[in-house]
Amino acid sequence: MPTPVGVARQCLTEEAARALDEAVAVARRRSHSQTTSLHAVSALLALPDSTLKSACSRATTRAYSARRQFHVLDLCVGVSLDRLPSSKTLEEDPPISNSLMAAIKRSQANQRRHPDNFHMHQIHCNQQTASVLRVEMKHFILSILDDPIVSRVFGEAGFRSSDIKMAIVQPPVIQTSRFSRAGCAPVFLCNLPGSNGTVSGRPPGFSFPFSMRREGKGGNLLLVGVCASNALKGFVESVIKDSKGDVLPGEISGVSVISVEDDVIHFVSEGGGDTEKMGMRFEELGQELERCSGPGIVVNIGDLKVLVGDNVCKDAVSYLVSKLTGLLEGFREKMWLVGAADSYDTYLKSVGRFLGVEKDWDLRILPITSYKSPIGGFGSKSSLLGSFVPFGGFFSTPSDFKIPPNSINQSITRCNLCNAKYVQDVAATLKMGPTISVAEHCSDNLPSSQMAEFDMRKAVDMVKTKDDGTSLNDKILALQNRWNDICQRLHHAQPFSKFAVSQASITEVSEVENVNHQTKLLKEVPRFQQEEKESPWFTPYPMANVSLPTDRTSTFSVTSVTTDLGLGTLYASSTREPNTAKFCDPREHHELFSSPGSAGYDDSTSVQIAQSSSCSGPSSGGQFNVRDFKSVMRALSEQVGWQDRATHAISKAVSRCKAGHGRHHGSNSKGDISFTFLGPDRIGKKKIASALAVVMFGSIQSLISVDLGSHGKLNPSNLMLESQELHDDELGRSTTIVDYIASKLSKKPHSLIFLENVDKADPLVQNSLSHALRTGRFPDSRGREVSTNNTIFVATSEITVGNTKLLSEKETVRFSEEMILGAQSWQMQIIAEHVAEAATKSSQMNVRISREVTSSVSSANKRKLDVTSDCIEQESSCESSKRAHKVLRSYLDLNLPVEDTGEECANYGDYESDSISERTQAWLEDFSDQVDEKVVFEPFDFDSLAEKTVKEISKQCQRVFGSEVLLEIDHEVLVQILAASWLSEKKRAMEEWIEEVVGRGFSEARQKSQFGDHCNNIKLVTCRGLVVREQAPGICLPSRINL
Amino acid sequence: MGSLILDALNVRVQGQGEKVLVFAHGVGTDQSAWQRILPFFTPYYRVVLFDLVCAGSVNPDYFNFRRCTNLEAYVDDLLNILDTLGVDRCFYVGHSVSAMIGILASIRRPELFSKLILIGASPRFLNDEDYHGGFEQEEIESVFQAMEANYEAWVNGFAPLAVGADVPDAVREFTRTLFNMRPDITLFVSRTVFNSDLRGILGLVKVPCCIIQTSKDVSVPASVAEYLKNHLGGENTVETLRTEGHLPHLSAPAMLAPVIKRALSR
Repeated sequence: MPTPVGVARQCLTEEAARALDEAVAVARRRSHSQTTSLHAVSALLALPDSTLKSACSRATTRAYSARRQFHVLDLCVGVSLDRLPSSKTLEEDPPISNSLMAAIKRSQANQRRHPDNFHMHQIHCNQQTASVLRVEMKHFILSILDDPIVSRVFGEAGFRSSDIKMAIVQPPVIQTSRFSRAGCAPVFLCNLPGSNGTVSGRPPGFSFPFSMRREGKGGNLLLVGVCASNALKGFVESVIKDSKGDVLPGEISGVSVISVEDDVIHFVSEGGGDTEKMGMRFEELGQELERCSGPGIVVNIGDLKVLVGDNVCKDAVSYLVSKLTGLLEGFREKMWLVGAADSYDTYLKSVGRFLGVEKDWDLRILPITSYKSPIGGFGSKSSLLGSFVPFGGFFSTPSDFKIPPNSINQSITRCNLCNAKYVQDVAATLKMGPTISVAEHCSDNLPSSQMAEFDMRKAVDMVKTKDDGTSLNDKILALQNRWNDICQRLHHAQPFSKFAVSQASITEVSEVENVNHQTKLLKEVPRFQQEEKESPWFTPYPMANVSLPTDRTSTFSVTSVTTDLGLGTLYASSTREPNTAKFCDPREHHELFSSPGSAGYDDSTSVQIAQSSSCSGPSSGGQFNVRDFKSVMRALSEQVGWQDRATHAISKAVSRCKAGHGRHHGSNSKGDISFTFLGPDRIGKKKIASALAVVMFGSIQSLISVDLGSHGKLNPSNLMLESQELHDDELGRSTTIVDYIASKLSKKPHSLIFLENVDKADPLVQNSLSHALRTGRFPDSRGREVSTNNTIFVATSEITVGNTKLLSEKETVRFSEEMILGAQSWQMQIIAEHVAEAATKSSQMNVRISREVTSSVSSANKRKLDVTSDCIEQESSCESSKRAHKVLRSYLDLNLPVEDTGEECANYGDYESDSISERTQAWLEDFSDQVDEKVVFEPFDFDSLAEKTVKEISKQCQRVFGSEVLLEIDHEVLVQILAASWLSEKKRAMEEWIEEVVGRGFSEARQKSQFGDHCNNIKLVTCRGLVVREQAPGICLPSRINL
Repeated sequence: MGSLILDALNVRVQGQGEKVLVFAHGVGTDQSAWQRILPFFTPYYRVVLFDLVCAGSVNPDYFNFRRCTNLEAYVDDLLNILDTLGVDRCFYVGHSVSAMIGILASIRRPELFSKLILIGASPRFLNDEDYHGGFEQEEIESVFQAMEANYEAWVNGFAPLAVGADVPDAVREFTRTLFNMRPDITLFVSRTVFNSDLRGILGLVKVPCCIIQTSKDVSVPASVAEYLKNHLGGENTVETLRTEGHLPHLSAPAMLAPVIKRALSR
């Protein structure tokens, strides 16, 4: 029996009534006999700035454009309306249909149960007679959406009414779509905190772990955090306000809060004068506890800082503590303490002051992190916050704080309720098995057979498409498991998605062998209805979330869910989810255990296979002119005269490779050649590499040099060697070495990549290098590959690999390479003195090399170098004196910031753990086996060079001062000269420098010296800290010497 | 639920090794931010990577505006992931907000973490009476307003600022991941972060921490690292990187990786 329009209008607010009028108008235009929910929807969509429309736009799937989807929706509504029978009589407004009226009634009930807020409700009640509660637009729309016909129409248009409802419940993020990228505003697929089982109920602020009490441990709560006391206040307020008792978790609903905070503050500051009053208060408390029939009383003791402040009376506090302890013992089942501390320190202080409190009070510390801005305007300033954040109030103002605990607790209640109510249901579901229940629901939920057919067709199509190409998997079992899971998920989600349901039902019918197909199909489902992705792990209770309140109040609640159930609407099955969540669990766990591990291994092995399989390439032999072995040899030894064996080996390898014989291993004979230069003589290696670059590619520009060992070194020093190196800004800061090399290579394929200290390379570089050797393609960090044909790789390492001949067996070297590498380029100075007793007895020229360090730095250990890596060097440097050690350190950089010298040296060896260096060693060996030629260098003979240098200098000295002087050469000076001559490209550069600069220095010194001819002690020293200003040509030594 | 969280948050486990190393990214990035330092660790550790639920690479539908109002939600996620993977002890490397998350997680489950490495961490971004967090409330408001008004412009301005060092690659990368985030989520998470205050609870952390701080960071003043060192309850060290910016793992990976490595082995 239809209701007259006038009657229905009375139940609605003005806004809603206007909408109803529109609906009636629509029905009238179409000359329908009744105004149904569909008319209402049509009218609602047509309204300017319609709530429904904006909600829809927020609930759109991303698969289609919102516009198109709206178009579809309009069409669907239109078609459905067309199907309705039209009548002839048009004299009066078509009356409201029963279904629409039911919807209005429903929303009325809903609104009555859940007023937007309590006060509003009060006012409402006072102003109006209780019988006519006018339905607001929002509730009106919500209940219309519940109508099965309406939700079917929306479903046809690709919307799901549940989503739209959520969108309506949640206020829009931003009214105008200012964020063009946003696509759609947030779909509030909410979930309950802690729903995943591990953490029970952790609301935004904090959860009150009441259950803890039942478990017997730590039920009394101490909130710790800067904003803990705010949180506490908020909690207390919310509990007090909640006189109805329906916001707290079921098991403790009806709990009350007694705040003794003020009494405590008062009592303590008064200095214990009023013990009696306080005692009274406690007695009252005790009585109250005794009387209390509910689950218990929360006693709020407020902020602990009151108790540990400076000017509190200790007696008073200890009285208080003992009283509280007594109470707690007396009413262990009924009483909870709640307190707050602004920081852990405060807590520690109070615990320290009252020993035993921690145990007696059984405090459980709960960290509070969220900050509630004291500035009330935080929210109001921002136009967004109010609507944007459902709990906007939560952190904006303390007064709003009441909302979150309420809502959270509400949801908890609901869960409990659900659990209680649907234990039966679970049992049934479990017994019946998922498939049957799916079928059941399917028939329940698909009111129109037409619809079901449609879905069937669709699903079958999908199965078909999936059919081809998929072979039967042997993992049927595993898949079945999976399928079951998915099925369950779908089943529980099904009230929201008809597609899912129908598909699930199809799979149920289908055969066992098709399991894997079905799985595929089912996997498709999520994509199909995107919005349906209710993130099952997050949201085991999607529907519960719908009914979670916004920052206003909940539209649906415990009761609404239950009544809805009674009505047999879609909500019914949703409430079952919590249970299923539980019984799904073990299986999923199982799945989980198996997947990550195996996946990981699979990955790595397959990569290896791929790499090794791609190891064959087309041969492109003699595109290069075959170089004359001799010419290469000559060019190399011109640069580095002292490494005969090495130059020979290199030249041979070059000519061999270029002659097309390729490498001695591997089948590809590409244009690339690779070397490892092992052993000492860093500069020698570098020089040879440059020479090789010039010989092979005609220009020094084709040398790309990267020192892998120094990469990551932080502060530039004054090392001579550093200054030699080109510092590419690009390297070191922005890109990884791999990317750097790759970018260089892609710009300049014809080049020689010179990688120093390859043993210290990071794993990425190592991998890339190995890969490049195997396949001729160098991958960068993102996996893009650059061809390395025509590239020469030269990798150097201090470490000699395998059974290659040991480097210099010989004994104590006075000048080790480390020492020379550590040379710093300082200005030099000549000091001429007259030392009385030094009046030389001997007629011989005296030369003394002064140094603070003992001479045999680390050389003893040197021969072990090939055995182990840096640890040994490290030890050796530790043995040596501090200065030498420092010098060494700067060279021995293992990706260590240099400032970390000193005491760290000792444990350094420990933490660059063995496994790592072993690994590197293994890699290096492997790498060396792959290269075309392994070249072992001999140590540079610094000793003889030193001798020669000293001789040259003393010659100069003698020439100027005569033979009667004692020449003292600072060790550092010598090291510096050695390093310079080692570095210099020119032959005889050192001799020339001595002749010119030192000689001139001596004679100037003699002229200037106050002792004139009588100076008999000449010192050649460095000026530490004074950087060389001007360098002599051809050698990096000062162009003049200070006096 | 387990596999779902792993799927949803794109959890990946890489590398060989006994020990587990967890990398957690900060706001505005996703797990790809660790890409450049990953190779340094995969040979020696089982590396766990995941995305925060607010990351752009996670389906935004998973982001629940009601759940994520404070950091506890993220802590739940982290602990869930670790539990699901069966990790019973791990090293944790957290950047920015994830450093906070790590701190909270280690309070809740101290036995799970053998060491926290906190990059660009701050217990509190806003200034207070005797605390210099680097931001004033008003500044933050204006930043939020800027985000609201024009996200694109804000990102383009903010990314270079945050990266600090002149590294176009890193800026590009950060811009990309920032854009991947839905603007409302970015804003929401930023608010959450700026509203968090961990100062009071630092003492509850008993796990040793290594605080890695760049020499200049727009978001975290140098004093904060000291503050953390002095207030965290475990044994703490501070490492200063000689580079600039809030995202050293993007801008100076080669510098950061050895420092992390060293911190791990101590």
